[in-house]
This record gives sequence, C-alpha cells and structure tokens, in this order.
Amino acid sequence: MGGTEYWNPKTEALSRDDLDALQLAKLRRLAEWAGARSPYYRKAFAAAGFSPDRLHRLADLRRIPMLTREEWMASQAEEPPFGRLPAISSTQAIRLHTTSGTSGREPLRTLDTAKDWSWIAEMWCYGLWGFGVRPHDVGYVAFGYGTFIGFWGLHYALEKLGALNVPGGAQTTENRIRQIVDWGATVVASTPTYALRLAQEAQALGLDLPGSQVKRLVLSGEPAGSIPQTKALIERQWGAKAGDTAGMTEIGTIMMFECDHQPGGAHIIEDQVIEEVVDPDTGEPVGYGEQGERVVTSFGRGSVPLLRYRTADLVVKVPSSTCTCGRGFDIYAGGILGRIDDMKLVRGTNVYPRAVEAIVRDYPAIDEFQIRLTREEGIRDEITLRVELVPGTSDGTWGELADRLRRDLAAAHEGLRFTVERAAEGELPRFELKARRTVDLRETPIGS
Amino acid sequence: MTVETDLLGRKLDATEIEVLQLYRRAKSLAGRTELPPCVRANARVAMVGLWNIVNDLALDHEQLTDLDA
Repeated sequence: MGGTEYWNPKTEALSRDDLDALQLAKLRRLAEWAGARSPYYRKAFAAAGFSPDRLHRLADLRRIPMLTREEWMASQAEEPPFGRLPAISSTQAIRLHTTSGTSGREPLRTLDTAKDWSWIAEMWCYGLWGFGVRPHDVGYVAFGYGTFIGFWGLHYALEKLGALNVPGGAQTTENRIRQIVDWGATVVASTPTYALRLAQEAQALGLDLPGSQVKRLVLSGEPAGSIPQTKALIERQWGAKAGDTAGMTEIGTIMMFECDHQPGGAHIIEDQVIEEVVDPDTGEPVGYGEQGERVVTSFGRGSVPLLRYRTADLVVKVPSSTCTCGRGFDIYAGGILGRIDDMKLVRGTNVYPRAVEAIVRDYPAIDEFQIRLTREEGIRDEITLRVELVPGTSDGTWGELADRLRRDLAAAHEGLRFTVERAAEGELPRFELKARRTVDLRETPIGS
Repeated sequence: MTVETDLLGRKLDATEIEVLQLYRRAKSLAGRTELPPCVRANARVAMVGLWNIVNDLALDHEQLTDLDA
C-alpha cells in the first residue's frame, strides 16, 4: 500500500472490472439503505417496481428511477424545510448546507451527519493529493464561508492531510491577496473567476504574484477551470499550476479532480461515486467520447442518499488510459462542458457561454465581460457582448479589438452577428463565487 | 475460522484486519450510552475516522446513523 502519488493506492489503480465490482457492492448497500430509510426512495422504488435485490450486475443500476432537481425541490416544498429525501432527522445531523442560489431558484437544503461530513473532506483529499498538495503546503482558502457548501470540504481536507490551512473568509480582495503573498501560501483555492480577480488586485497593488510562493491553484465552482484559454490565463497571471475540480451541493463535495499530470480533464472518483453519462432526451447511456448529461450516484452521504441524480451538467467521458498517471478512474474530458440550460438559442444558432468565454480569454486587453440577450421589436433576438478593458488600455485599440472580436465570435457561431459594446471601467459585476455573466432579457427564445 | 474478505472478495492483509478490528471496537464504544459525553463524542470521532479507512480500502460499506454519526 505504499506509493505517494495516490491518496488511496488500493482503489485508484483498480482495473475497470474491479471498479465495476466495487461499485456494484456499494450500490446494493446504498439502495437497501435508501429504500429502508428515506420516505422519498421508498415510494419512488415502489412506483418503479424496483427493489435492491434486483441489482445483479452494475447495468441493473438503470432499473433505479432517476431523480431530478425539480422532484427534490417539489419534495422540499411539500414537506419543508428538508423534504422527503433525508434518511435521518435533522437532530441526527451536524451540518446544514444549501446550494449557492446563483441560479435564482430556491436553494436546495442538505443535512450531513458526522460521518458524511468526514467523507466530504475525504473526497477532497483524493483531489488535493492527486494534484500534488502535500503536508508541507500552506493552503489559502479564498472563500466566503457560509451556508453555501463551496470549499468547506477542501478546508477540512487540508487539515486532514496535514497542510497548514489558512481560512480566508470575511476578507476584502485586497486583504486576501496580501495574506496569500505575505504568509507564503503555496496552494490557493478559489473559483476561476475569483482567481483572475485576485490576480488583477495583485497587479493593482504592485505585488509580484508569479514571484510569490504560490505553486498550485485549486479551482472549483465554475466550468471555466477547464476552459483551456481561461486556465492558461490564470496560470500565466499567477505563475502557478491550475487544477480543475467539480462538485455539487447535492453530494456535498467534489466527484472529480484534475491530477498532477493535467490530462486536459478530470478523473472521476469512481470508488466513491457512479457517474453515468446519458442522452438528455432519452435517458439512455452514451458511449466514451460522446457528449451527454451527468447522472450521479453517491455512496458517501447517507443522510440524504443520492441515486441516479440528473445533474443537467454536460460532459464527455473518456477512458482512464487517456491520462498517464496510472489511475483506473475514467476522465471527463474538458471537465464540465456547460449545463443543458446554459445553451441559448439566438436566431436559430446555439450559443454556449463557455464557447464565448474561450474566445474572450484570448484577448488579454479584456478584463471582464457580459453576454446580454434581448428581443428587439418583439420579434428579433439580439446578442450583445459587453466588455470592460483592462485599466490603462489605450482608447485607440478599441475599434480594432471590437472588429476582431466580432469576427471571431461570428466565425465560431455559424456567422451569427454579435454586437460588441464597451462598458465603462468597473461597470460590469465582479464575482467571488459562481459568476453569472449571461443576462437573458427575453421571455422565450424565438424558435425554441 | 472464517477468512474475511473485502468488498472485492480479496483476502484481507494484516493492516486491513487491524483496521477492521479497531473500527468495530470504536463502534462498540461509541454505541455505549452510559459513557460520559467526553468519551462518547470522542469515540464517535475515532469511529468516523476509521470508517473512512474501512470505506476507502473497500473493507466494508455501511451507514452509521444509528450510532449518531
């Protein structure tokens, strides 16, 4: 059981067949637990004619009905505050967390027992260790601690693996970047958007970030951590390696991480979760290399069991052999590619905010941006990219930059005409958690 | 004597046997309601830590809600 590259050498290097066998063994126990203890699953299993003793092989997982966020929300509304999913009472829990609320919807509420909470940190340990974080590191958590689960699990994982943990909550951006530099942080955890914001602040303060002790940035909370252009920009501005992770409040932690080999995607922690990729319309599985929707089953959180939860995240799964690290864990190529509901239809053309961001990040003079969708005269959809330039950028460069940007955007979107507007310095919103850069002022896209 | 195996059906090595024994003892201690709060609470912390090893090494997989964890 030696070796230092893996947090858990026993399972991280398992073969596909062994991982499948392990997942089946855990799945049987989870399904029995959920069916026996969660009022929601008891009813859902009965309605679907499913019982855990029907799980003979891993493919039998598909006998379990899928769960949607809408169903969870409806359950929460019917029986507030936690709905019928929990397998425990709130008196047995030690933590209460919520989704971020950035979508504008009512947040989901989750409960965790002491065991669940410890598992949540354990999952982050797989990711931190896999990305090269070690006990000698100084980890700075640039996160506003609150009910949103965010980096809470990472906070405890740093302590668990023996690193020095600096909780950077309740700070201004200026204070945070000064602490990162002055206290010799070697690892910084933040959203990709906030990593850029911190770098910008360092520049304004005259701090030499690439010359600092920071060696690794652990990114989470937004797909941008795997957008090559955004990641390259972050790595350039910090002079450090950036690694993507992704998780969700619904499982309480991360389910994938980018290892130190940086294979252009993130490994799924397959001894602790099952990640299916399905056609969003039919719910049928899609193969390696095909884009589909993530459906997650998580073994670790017993308080609110999660079986076959439809995430609305778009991903492409590729085999573990795509990476040279030797893990048996399959990979989501390019991380989370977006969300099903992110896609915007404009005059018959699909527009993905991630694709727009990838173009924008190739322009070093652009500091911040926003995508605005409007309907003119009630019939014609328009898309406008509003951009804020880096302070001090010469006004003379604007005309040429806007023309080039317009051409690049059109070329990537079947000739779709984007209006490109310059916003005043400081006019566009900045974000610490999940960025919301798309503002859709239409009611229903024409043609949808 | 029954030979114990992990969730993959593999025979446990000496470390795994030791971990499993410690875990079971911690569970037993954490479940004793007559013990003072300082003993129960810290036994629960130890049990939860051991649960992670047991789960990670695929020695067993169970929920601990009935032991308040």
